[in-house]
Amino acid sequence: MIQKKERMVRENLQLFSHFSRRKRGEVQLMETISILFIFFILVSLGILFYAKYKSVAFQHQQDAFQEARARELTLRIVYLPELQCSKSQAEAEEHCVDMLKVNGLEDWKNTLEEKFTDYYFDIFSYAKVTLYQIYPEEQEWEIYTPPKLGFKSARTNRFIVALRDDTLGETTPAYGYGYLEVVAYS
Amino acid sequence: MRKIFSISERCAGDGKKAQMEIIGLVVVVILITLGLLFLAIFALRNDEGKKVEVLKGLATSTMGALMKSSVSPQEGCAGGAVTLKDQPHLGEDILEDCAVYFEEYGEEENVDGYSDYHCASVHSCNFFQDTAEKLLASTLGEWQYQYEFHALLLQSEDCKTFPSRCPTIISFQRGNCLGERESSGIFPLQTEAGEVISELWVC
Repeated sequence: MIQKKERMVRENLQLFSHFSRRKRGEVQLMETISILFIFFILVSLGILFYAKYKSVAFQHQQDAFQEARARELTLRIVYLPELQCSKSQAEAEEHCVDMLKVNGLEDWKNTLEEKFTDYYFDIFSYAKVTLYQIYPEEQEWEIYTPPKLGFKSARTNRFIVALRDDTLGETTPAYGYGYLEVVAYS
Repeated sequence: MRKIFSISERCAGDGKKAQMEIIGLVVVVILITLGLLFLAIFALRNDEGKKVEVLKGLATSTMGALMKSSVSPQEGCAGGAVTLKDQPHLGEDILEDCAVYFEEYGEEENVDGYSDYHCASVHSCNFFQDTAEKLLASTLGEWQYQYEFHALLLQSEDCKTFPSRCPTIISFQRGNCLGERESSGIFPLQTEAGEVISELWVC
Protein backbone atom coordinates (compact mmCIF):
# COMPACT_ATOMS: atom_id res chain seq x y z
CA MET A 1 0.00 0.00 0.00
CA ILE A 2 2.75 2.38 1.06
CA GLN A 3 4.81 1.38 -1.94
CA LYS A 4 1.87 2.11 -4.23
CA LYS A 5 1.44 5.56 -2.66
CA GLU A 6 5.14 6.31 -3.03
CA ARG A 7 5.03 5.30 -6.69
CA MET A 8 2.01 7.53 -7.26
CA VAL A 9 3.75 10.50 -5.60
CA ARG A 10 6.89 9.88 -7.67
CA GLU A 11 4.85 9.67 -10.86
CA ASN A 12 3.02 12.90 -9.97
CA LEU A 13 6.33 14.62 -9.24
CA GLN A 14 7.74 13.49 -12.58
CA LEU A 15 4.64 14.73 -14.36
CA PHE A 16 4.82 18.05 -12.52
CA SER A 17 8.50 18.48 -13.35
CA HIS A 18 7.76 17.63 -17.01
CA PHE A 19 4.96 20.22 -17.19
CA SER A 20 7.00 22.84 -15.32
CA ARG A 21 9.96 22.35 -17.72
CA ARG A 22 7.60 22.57 -20.72
CA LYS A 23 6.00 25.75 -19.36
CA ARG A 24 9.43 27.27 -18.74
CA GLY A 25 10.42 26.46 -22.28
CA GLU A 26 7.25 28.03 -23.60
CA VAL A 27 7.88 31.20 -21.58
CA GLN A 28 11.45 31.36 -22.86
CA LEU A 29 10.22 30.91 -26.42
CA MET A 30 7.67 33.66 -25.96
CA GLU A 31 10.39 35.88 -24.53
CA THR A 32 12.65 35.24 -27.53
CA ILE A 33 9.79 35.91 -29.93
CA SER A 34 8.89 39.19 -28.17
CA ILE A 35 12.53 40.32 -28.21
CA LEU A 36 12.81 39.49 -31.91
CA PHE A 37 9.51 41.29 -32.55
CA ILE A 38 10.68 44.42 -30.75
CA PHE A 39 14.04 44.21 -32.48
CA PHE A 40 12.45 44.08 -35.93
CA ILE A 41 10.08 46.91 -35.04
CA LEU A 42 13.08 49.01 -33.99
CA VAL A 43 14.99 48.08 -37.17
CA SER A 44 12.01 48.94 -39.41
CA LEU A 45 11.48 52.22 -37.55
CA GLY A 46 15.16 53.01 -38.10
CA ILE A 47 14.92 52.18 -41.81
CA LEU A 48 11.76 54.29 -42.14
CA PHE A 49 13.34 57.17 -40.31
CA TYR A 50 16.53 56.96 -42.38
CA ALA A 51 14.56 56.81 -45.66
CA LYS A 52 12.53 59.86 -44.64
CA TYR A 53 15.67 61.70 -43.59
CA LYS A 54 17.37 60.81 -46.88
CA SER A 55 14.44 62.06 -48.96
CA VAL A 56 14.25 65.32 -46.99
CA ALA A 57 18.03 65.74 -47.25
CA PHE A 58 17.86 65.13 -50.99
CA GLN A 59 15.10 67.73 -51.36
CA HIS A 60 17.10 70.16 -49.26
CA GLN A 61 20.19 69.53 -51.38
CA GLN A 62 18.20 70.12 -54.56
CA ASP A 63 16.82 73.37 -53.15
CA ALA A 64 20.30 74.51 -52.17
CA PHE A 65 21.57 73.66 -55.65
CA GLN A 66 18.71 75.62 -57.25
CA GLU A 67 19.35 78.57 -54.98
CA ALA A 68 23.07 78.52 -55.75
CA ARG A 69 22.29 78.40 -59.47
CA ALA A 70 19.91 81.38 -59.20
CA ARG A 71 22.54 83.30 -57.23
CA GLU A 72 25.26 82.47 -59.71
CA LEU A 73 23.03 83.55 -62.59
CA THR A 74 22.26 86.83 -60.83
CA LEU A 75 25.96 87.55 -60.40
CA ARG A 76 26.61 86.68 -64.04
CA ILE A 77 23.94 89.15 -65.12
CA VAL A 78 25.07 91.90 -62.74
CA TYR A 79 28.60 91.65 -64.14
CA LEU A 80 27.56 91.06 -67.77
CA PRO A 81 29.47 93.54 -69.98
CA GLU A 82 26.37 93.89 -72.16
CA LEU A 83 24.54 95.48 -69.19
CA GLN A 84 27.12 96.82 -66.76
CA CYS A 85 27.69 100.57 -66.45
CA SER A 86 31.01 101.51 -68.00
CA LYS A 87 32.68 104.62 -69.30
CA SER A 88 35.38 104.07 -71.93
CA GLN A 89 38.54 102.78 -70.21
CA ALA A 90 37.38 103.51 -66.65
CA GLU A 91 36.54 100.73 -64.24
CA ALA A 92 32.94 99.57 -64.49
CA GLU A 93 30.49 100.83 -61.86
CA GLU A 94 29.40 98.14 -59.40
CA HIS A 95 25.75 97.11 -59.05
CA CYS A 96 24.74 99.35 -61.90
CA VAL A 97 22.88 98.66 -65.16
CA ASP A 98 23.32 100.94 -68.17
CA MET A 99 19.89 101.71 -69.65
CA LEU A 100 21.38 102.54 -73.05
CA LYS A 101 22.80 99.01 -73.15
CA VAL A 102 19.48 97.55 -72.00
CA ASN A 103 17.65 99.31 -74.83
CA GLY A 104 20.34 98.14 -77.27
CA LEU A 105 19.97 94.58 -76.00
CA GLU A 106 16.20 94.75 -76.47
CA ASP A 107 16.63 95.89 -80.08
CA TRP A 108 19.15 93.12 -80.65
CA LYS A 109 16.73 90.58 -79.14
CA ASN A 110 13.90 91.70 -81.41
CA THR A 111 16.11 91.65 -84.51
CA LEU A 112 18.00 88.41 -83.94
CA GLU A 113 15.22 86.47 -82.18
CA GLU A 114 16.36 82.81 -82.16
CA LYS A 115 20.04 83.60 -82.57
CA PHE A 116 19.84 85.85 -79.52
CA THR A 117 18.23 83.09 -77.42
CA ASP A 118 20.71 80.49 -78.67
CA TYR A 119 23.66 82.70 -77.80
CA TYR A 120 22.48 83.50 -74.27
CA PHE A 121 21.19 79.99 -73.63
CA ASP A 122 24.81 78.88 -73.25
CA ILE A 123 25.24 81.45 -70.48
CA PHE A 124 21.88 81.41 -68.67
CA SER A 125 20.26 78.10 -69.70
CA TYR A 126 16.63 77.91 -68.52
CA ALA A 127 16.05 81.16 -66.68
CA LYS A 128 14.01 84.30 -66.85
CA VAL A 129 15.72 87.63 -66.33
CA THR A 130 13.66 90.75 -65.73
CA LEU A 131 14.82 94.25 -64.83
CA TYR A 132 12.46 96.37 -62.74
CA GLN A 133 12.69 100.09 -62.08
CA ILE A 134 10.91 101.25 -58.93
CA TYR A 135 11.94 104.90 -58.81
CA PRO A 136 11.55 107.57 -60.28
CA GLU A 137 8.84 105.68 -62.15
CA GLU A 138 7.84 102.03 -62.33
CA GLN A 139 8.96 100.20 -65.47
CA GLU A 140 10.13 96.73 -66.43
CA TRP A 141 12.22 95.11 -69.15
CA GLU A 142 12.32 91.43 -70.01
CA ILE A 143 15.96 90.77 -70.75
CA TYR A 144 16.00 87.03 -71.35
CA THR A 145 13.04 84.64 -71.41
CA PRO A 146 13.53 81.29 -73.17
CA PRO A 147 10.46 79.05 -72.77
CA LYS A 148 10.70 76.22 -70.27
CA LEU A 149 7.60 74.10 -70.55
CA GLY A 150 6.69 71.78 -67.70
CA PHE A 151 9.40 72.90 -65.31
CA LYS A 152 9.58 71.07 -61.98
CA SER A 153 10.64 73.95 -59.82
CA ALA A 154 11.62 77.58 -60.08
CA ARG A 155 13.83 79.57 -57.74
CA THR A 156 13.73 83.36 -57.70
CA ASN A 157 16.63 85.58 -56.72
CA ARG A 158 16.64 89.38 -56.65
CA PHE A 159 19.43 91.91 -56.57
CA ILE A 160 19.09 95.67 -56.18
CA VAL A 161 20.81 97.78 -58.82
CA ALA A 162 21.11 101.39 -59.89
CA LEU A 163 19.83 102.08 -63.40
CA ARG A 164 21.99 104.67 -65.16
CA ASP A 165 20.49 106.70 -67.98
CA ASP A 166 22.97 108.92 -69.80
CA THR A 167 20.26 110.42 -71.98
CA LEU A 168 18.75 112.18 -68.95
CA GLY A 169 20.66 114.89 -67.12
CA GLU A 170 22.87 117.53 -68.69
CA THR A 171 26.09 117.23 -66.70
CA THR A 172 25.68 114.00 -64.76
CA PRO A 173 23.67 110.93 -65.74
CA ALA A 174 20.37 110.21 -64.00
CA TYR A 175 20.06 107.08 -61.90
CA GLY A 176 16.99 105.03 -61.16
CA TYR A 177 16.47 102.58 -58.33
CA GLY A 178 15.43 99.06 -59.27
CA TYR A 179 16.26 95.41 -59.12
CA LEU A 180 17.12 92.44 -61.28
CA GLU A 181 14.95 89.37 -60.86
CA VAL A 182 16.31 86.02 -61.94
CA VAL A 183 14.05 82.95 -62.02
CA ALA A 184 16.07 79.76 -62.46
CA TYR A 185 14.03 76.81 -63.77
CA SER A 186 14.75 73.11 -63.48
CA MET B 1 24.80 20.63 2.09
CA ARG B 2 24.23 19.63 -1.49
CA LYS B 3 21.02 21.66 -1.56
CA ILE B 4 22.71 24.80 -0.21
CA PHE B 5 25.48 24.55 -2.82
CA SER B 6 22.92 24.17 -5.58
CA ILE B 7 21.01 27.32 -4.44
CA SER B 8 24.15 29.46 -4.26
CA GLU B 9 25.19 28.18 -7.70
CA ARG B 10 21.80 29.14 -9.11
CA CYS B 11 22.06 32.58 -7.45
CA ALA B 12 25.45 33.11 -9.08
CA GLY B 13 23.99 32.11 -12.48
CA ASP B 14 21.07 34.54 -12.06
CA GLY B 15 23.47 37.34 -11.09
CA LYS B 16 25.53 36.76 -14.22
CA LYS B 17 22.39 36.79 -16.38
CA ALA B 18 21.26 40.08 -14.79
CA GLN B 19 24.69 41.59 -15.44
CA MET B 20 24.53 40.51 -19.09
CA GLU B 21 21.09 42.09 -19.42
CA ILE B 22 22.34 45.35 -17.91
CA ILE B 23 25.27 45.37 -20.35
CA GLY B 24 22.80 44.82 -23.20
CA LEU B 25 20.70 47.71 -21.94
CA VAL B 26 23.76 49.96 -21.72
CA VAL B 27 24.73 49.03 -25.30
CA VAL B 28 21.21 49.90 -26.50
CA VAL B 29 21.32 53.24 -24.64
CA ILE B 30 24.75 54.02 -26.16
CA LEU B 31 23.47 53.17 -29.66
CA ILE B 32 20.39 55.38 -29.22
CA THR B 33 22.54 58.24 -27.90
CA LEU B 34 24.89 57.91 -30.88
CA GLY B 35 21.90 57.95 -33.24
CA LEU B 36 20.50 61.09 -31.62
CA LEU B 37 23.91 62.75 -31.71
CA PHE B 38 24.25 61.93 -35.42
CA LEU B 39 20.77 63.33 -36.03
CA ALA B 40 21.49 66.52 -34.10
CA ILE B 41 24.72 67.11 -36.02
CA PHE B 42 22.91 66.84 -39.38
CA ALA B 43 19.85 68.78 -38.26
CA LEU B 44 21.80 71.69 -36.81
CA ARG B 45 24.19 72.01 -39.75
CA ASN B 46 22.94 75.01 -41.72
CA ASP B 47 24.10 77.40 -44.45
CA GLU B 48 25.13 80.31 -42.23
CA GLY B 49 28.00 81.32 -44.50
CA LYS B 50 25.88 81.51 -47.63
CA LYS B 51 23.14 83.50 -45.88
CA VAL B 52 25.65 86.04 -44.56
CA GLU B 53 27.17 86.38 -48.05
CA VAL B 54 23.74 87.04 -49.59
CA LEU B 55 22.79 89.61 -46.92
CA LYS B 56 26.11 91.42 -47.27
CA GLY B 57 25.78 91.67 -51.07
CA LEU B 58 22.19 92.81 -50.79
CA ALA B 59 22.96 95.47 -48.18
CA THR B 60 25.87 96.88 -50.19
CA SER B 61 24.02 96.98 -53.51
CA THR B 62 20.91 98.50 -51.88
CA MET B 63 22.90 101.25 -50.25
CA GLY B 64 24.82 101.98 -53.49
CA ALA B 65 21.65 102.18 -55.58
CA LEU B 66 19.82 104.24 -52.95
CA MET B 67 22.54 106.86 -52.67
CA LYS B 68 22.92 107.18 -56.45
CA SER B 69 19.20 107.45 -57.23
CA SER B 70 18.07 110.67 -58.88
CA VAL B 71 15.01 112.40 -57.51
CA SER B 72 11.96 112.31 -59.74
CA PRO B 73 11.33 115.57 -61.67
CA GLN B 74 7.76 115.49 -60.33
CA GLU B 75 9.04 116.22 -56.82
CA GLY B 76 9.84 119.82 -57.82
CA CYS B 77 13.17 120.08 -56.01
CA ALA B 78 14.26 123.43 -57.51
CA GLY B 79 13.58 126.53 -55.48
CA GLY B 80 15.38 128.86 -53.15
CA ALA B 81 19.04 128.97 -54.12
CA VAL B 82 18.87 126.05 -56.54
CA THR B 83 18.23 126.07 -60.29
CA LEU B 84 18.38 122.52 -61.64
CA LYS B 85 20.32 121.35 -64.65
CA ASP B 86 20.20 117.78 -63.46
CA GLN B 87 17.87 116.11 -61.01
CA PRO B 88 19.52 115.91 -57.56
CA HIS B 89 20.80 112.56 -56.30
CA LEU B 90 19.49 111.21 -53.02
CA GLY B 91 22.95 110.71 -51.51
CA GLU B 92 25.33 113.40 -52.66
CA ASP B 93 22.73 116.19 -53.01
CA ILE B 94 19.71 115.59 -50.76
CA LEU B 95 21.55 113.93 -47.85
CA GLU B 96 24.29 116.57 -48.05
CA ASP B 97 21.68 119.34 -48.02
CA CYS B 98 20.04 117.62 -45.05
CA ALA B 99 23.35 117.62 -43.14
CA VAL B 100 24.12 121.28 -43.95
CA TYR B 101 20.69 122.50 -42.84
CA PHE B 102 20.08 119.93 -40.12
CA GLU B 103 19.81 122.68 -37.49
CA GLU B 104 16.77 124.04 -39.32
CA TYR B 105 15.17 120.59 -39.15
CA GLY B 106 16.40 119.63 -35.71
CA GLU B 107 15.26 116.95 -33.34
CA GLU B 108 11.69 118.32 -33.59
CA GLU B 109 11.71 117.39 -37.30
CA ASN B 110 10.59 120.77 -38.57
CA VAL B 111 9.40 119.89 -42.08
CA ASP B 112 9.14 123.57 -43.10
CA GLY B 113 12.70 124.42 -42.00
CA TYR B 114 15.01 125.89 -44.66
CA SER B 115 17.09 123.71 -47.00
CA ASP B 116 18.45 124.51 -50.49
CA TYR B 117 16.39 121.77 -52.07
CA HIS B 118 12.76 121.69 -51.16
CA CYS B 119 11.61 118.47 -52.86
CA ALA B 120 7.92 117.70 -52.30
CA SER B 121 7.81 121.01 -50.35
CA VAL B 122 9.56 119.52 -47.32
CA HIS B 123 13.00 119.83 -45.73
CA SER B 124 15.68 117.64 -47.36
CA CYS B 125 16.04 115.49 -44.22
CA ASN B 126 12.35 114.70 -44.27
CA PHE B 127 12.35 114.08 -48.01
CA PHE B 128 15.36 111.75 -47.81
CA GLN B 129 13.85 109.77 -44.95
CA ASP B 130 10.46 109.40 -46.65
CA THR B 131 11.92 108.43 -50.02
CA ALA B 132 14.47 105.99 -48.61
CA GLU B 133 11.81 104.38 -46.40
CA LYS B 134 9.48 104.02 -49.37
CA LEU B 135 12.17 102.53 -51.65
CA LEU B 136 13.42 100.04 -49.08
CA ALA B 137 9.88 99.03 -48.14
CA SER B 138 9.04 98.31 -51.79
CA THR B 139 12.10 96.07 -52.23
CA LEU B 140 13.66 94.64 -49.06
CA GLY B 141 10.40 94.97 -47.13
CA GLU B 142 8.42 93.21 -49.87
CA TRP B 143 10.95 90.37 -49.84
CA GLN B 144 10.47 89.93 -46.08
CA TYR B 145 13.86 91.29 -44.99
CA GLN B 146 14.23 93.49 -41.95
CA TYR B 147 16.54 96.48 -42.01
CA GLU B 148 17.89 99.48 -40.16
CA PHE B 149 19.22 102.69 -41.71
CA HIS B 150 21.22 105.29 -39.81
CA ALA B 151 23.04 108.41 -40.95
CA LEU B 152 25.20 110.28 -38.43
CA LEU B 153 26.70 113.74 -38.76
CA LEU B 154 30.26 113.79 -37.44
CA GLN B 155 30.71 117.45 -36.45
CA SER B 156 33.18 117.64 -33.58
CA GLU B 157 36.36 115.73 -32.74
CA ASP B 158 34.69 114.37 -29.59
CA CYS B 159 31.86 113.03 -31.69
CA LYS B 160 34.29 111.43 -34.17
CA THR B 161 35.90 109.55 -31.29
CA PHE B 162 32.52 108.47 -29.88
CA PRO B 163 30.06 108.27 -32.82
CA SER B 164 27.18 107.54 -30.42
CA ARG B 165 27.44 111.21 -29.30
CA CYS B 166 26.94 112.46 -32.88
CA PRO B 167 23.55 113.71 -33.99
CA THR B 168 21.57 111.13 -35.96
CA ILE B 169 20.19 112.98 -38.94
CA ILE B 170 18.32 110.06 -40.51
CA SER B 171 17.14 106.91 -38.79
CA PHE B 172 14.47 104.38 -39.59
CA GLN B 173 13.97 100.66 -39.42
CA ARG B 174 11.65 97.81 -40.25
CA GLY B 175 11.48 95.11 -37.61
CA ASN B 176 14.30 94.49 -35.17
CA CYS B 177 17.65 93.32 -36.45
CA LEU B 178 18.69 91.75 -33.16
CA GLY B 179 20.10 88.44 -34.35
CA GLU B 180 22.21 87.70 -37.36
CA ARG B 181 22.59 90.85 -39.46
CA GLU B 182 24.89 92.23 -42.11
CA SER B 183 26.04 95.77 -42.78
CA SER B 184 26.45 97.55 -46.09
CA GLY B 185 29.61 99.06 -44.69
CA ILE B 186 29.94 102.77 -44.02
CA PHE B 187 29.08 105.15 -46.86
CA PRO B 188 30.95 108.42 -46.07
CA LEU B 189 29.94 111.79 -47.51
CA GLN B 190 31.93 115.00 -47.06
CA THR B 191 29.75 118.04 -46.48
CA GLU B 192 30.24 121.65 -45.30
CA ALA B 193 28.73 120.71 -41.95
CA GLY B 194 31.05 117.76 -41.42
CA GLU B 195 31.28 114.14 -42.50
CA VAL B 196 28.08 112.15 -42.85
CA ILE B 197 28.36 108.40 -42.35
CA SER B 198 25.47 106.23 -43.46
CA GLU B 199 25.01 102.54 -42.84
CA LEU B 200 22.34 100.01 -43.70
CA TRP B 201 21.86 96.81 -41.72
CA VAL B 202 19.91 93.96 -43.28
CA CYS B 203 18.70 90.82 -41.52
